[in-house]
Amino acid sequence: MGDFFSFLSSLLKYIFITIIYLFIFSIIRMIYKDIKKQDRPLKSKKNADSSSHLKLITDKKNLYFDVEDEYPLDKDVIIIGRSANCNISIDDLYMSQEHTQLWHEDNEWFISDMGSTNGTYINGIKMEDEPLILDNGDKIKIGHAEFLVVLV
Amino acid sequence: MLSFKRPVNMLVLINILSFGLLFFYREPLDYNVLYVGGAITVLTVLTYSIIYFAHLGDEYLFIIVSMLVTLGVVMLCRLNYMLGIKQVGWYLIAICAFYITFALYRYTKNLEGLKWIYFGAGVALFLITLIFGKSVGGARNWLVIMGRTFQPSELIKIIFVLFLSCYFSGDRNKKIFNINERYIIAAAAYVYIGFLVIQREWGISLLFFITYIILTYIFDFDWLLLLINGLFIMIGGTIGALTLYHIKVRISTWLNPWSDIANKGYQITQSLFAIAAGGFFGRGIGLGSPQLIPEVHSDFIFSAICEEMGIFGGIAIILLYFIFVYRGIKIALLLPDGYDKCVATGITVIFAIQTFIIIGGVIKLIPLTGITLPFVSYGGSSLVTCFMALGILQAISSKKQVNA
Repeated sequence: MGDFFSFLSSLLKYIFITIIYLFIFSIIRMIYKDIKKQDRPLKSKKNADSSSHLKLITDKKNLYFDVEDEYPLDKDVIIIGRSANCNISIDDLYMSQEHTQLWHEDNEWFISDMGSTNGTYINGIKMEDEPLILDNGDKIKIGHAEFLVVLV
Repeated sequence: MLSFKRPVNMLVLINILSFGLLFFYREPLDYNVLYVGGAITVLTVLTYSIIYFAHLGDEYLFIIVSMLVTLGVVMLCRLNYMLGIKQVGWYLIAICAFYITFALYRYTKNLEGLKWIYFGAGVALFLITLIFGKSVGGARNWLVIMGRTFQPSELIKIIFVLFLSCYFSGDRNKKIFNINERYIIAAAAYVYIGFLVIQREWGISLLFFITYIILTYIFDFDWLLLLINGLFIMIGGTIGALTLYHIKVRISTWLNPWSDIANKGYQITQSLFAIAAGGFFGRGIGLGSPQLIPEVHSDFIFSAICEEMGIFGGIAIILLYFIFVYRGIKIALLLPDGYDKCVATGITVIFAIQTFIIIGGVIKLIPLTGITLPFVSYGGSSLVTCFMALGILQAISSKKQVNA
């Protein structure tokens, strides 16, 4: 056992401990985010039926990621994307970090694509750069999931 | 791309650093250490990717467990290089067993209808062990199959949980021969514990008893039954502690190991010296002397980790078990009442209690009983059956995601 090994080992023991604790911390952080995600829809579920919302129409069995049946349109600006900071966050690999934006103005709901890689489809047609006005019954396809627009 | 926020990347980093360090441990340099490290890294990353991308349920269970296995293999390679290689071989077999159990549990129907088949299988394994078994270290609990030794009591742990779950998830007010079924189940549990006592497996018989009590408390609460069990174990324990030589030795070395430090107290005192020598950050891998503890590679591996990776390393191991058990209970809580819920709870409880018994034993918190530290200790049958239990838990968690 040489001096080199002793030096290396005494140095690495601090690094090992640090990495192991970072490992534990990262797992706990992931679990925490997981729980938070599960808690959120319970609160917003109550008024989903009576107000404007997005309704999932793709069969959930064909989707490999977690997605809710309904997302309420309860804010003036709603961003849909893969990032956890989005109002509607869906972990679909075909979705960009910030994919699509919906906003409410003069009693109309507008939609615009935020420069996503795979685009946003309204009633089967890929939308251009200009924002569009949404009607009741429009279908929005983002990544794998397709939503029905229900406006009240 | 390579974000260190992902636990699996940190695991790979630990593997590279620790096996790189062990490469310089022995002169002349031995390239086999690097092959061992490479093999375990590839196995872990491959299995984690399959679980993650094929959506086979909870992704945290396996990553926590693979960290424990990695720390165990690093310590075994440092203690006795051949054991480390063998353990990686067992790890490969254990992962195969994990997939097989996963598939069997996931795609087999009517597992809860096999109550007495489970009971029979357990008893048959016990009888085979008693008749054909081989004694190792005072306990007649090893089977020799084709030159390899195998410990059936490890497998019986899983069978025991499956058997109890059949009862807890079924109709509880059924009567057999005009006796309430819960007493028959209690008797059956004591048959298992009795066999273990005959084999002098005190640790595992304690494990079975506590598991039975906890599951009864959770799923079939009954004051009278708990009282009877409590009285039974108190009387049985007292008689055992007063008359049986093996138990008397364990209790006296627990209360005062220093009085007979050269013989009976040698193992536990060496373990305490090792933990004390480690301090907060340990002496560094390869720089301590944990090989002074007898049986350091199986029961006492926790002391070796404490000596070379420090108290912080030991606490990290305990924390890993904590989040593992937390995940298990979380899975069980989200399930609807039924067979799967009982099995998930039972398996989680088995892991938790087993860890408590052996870590408590080596730090002299409770009397020492020979039982392996799940996923960390050297031992083929222990590692394989632990991964089988993990496979069942994984299968249950993947069922939940389909139904949700």
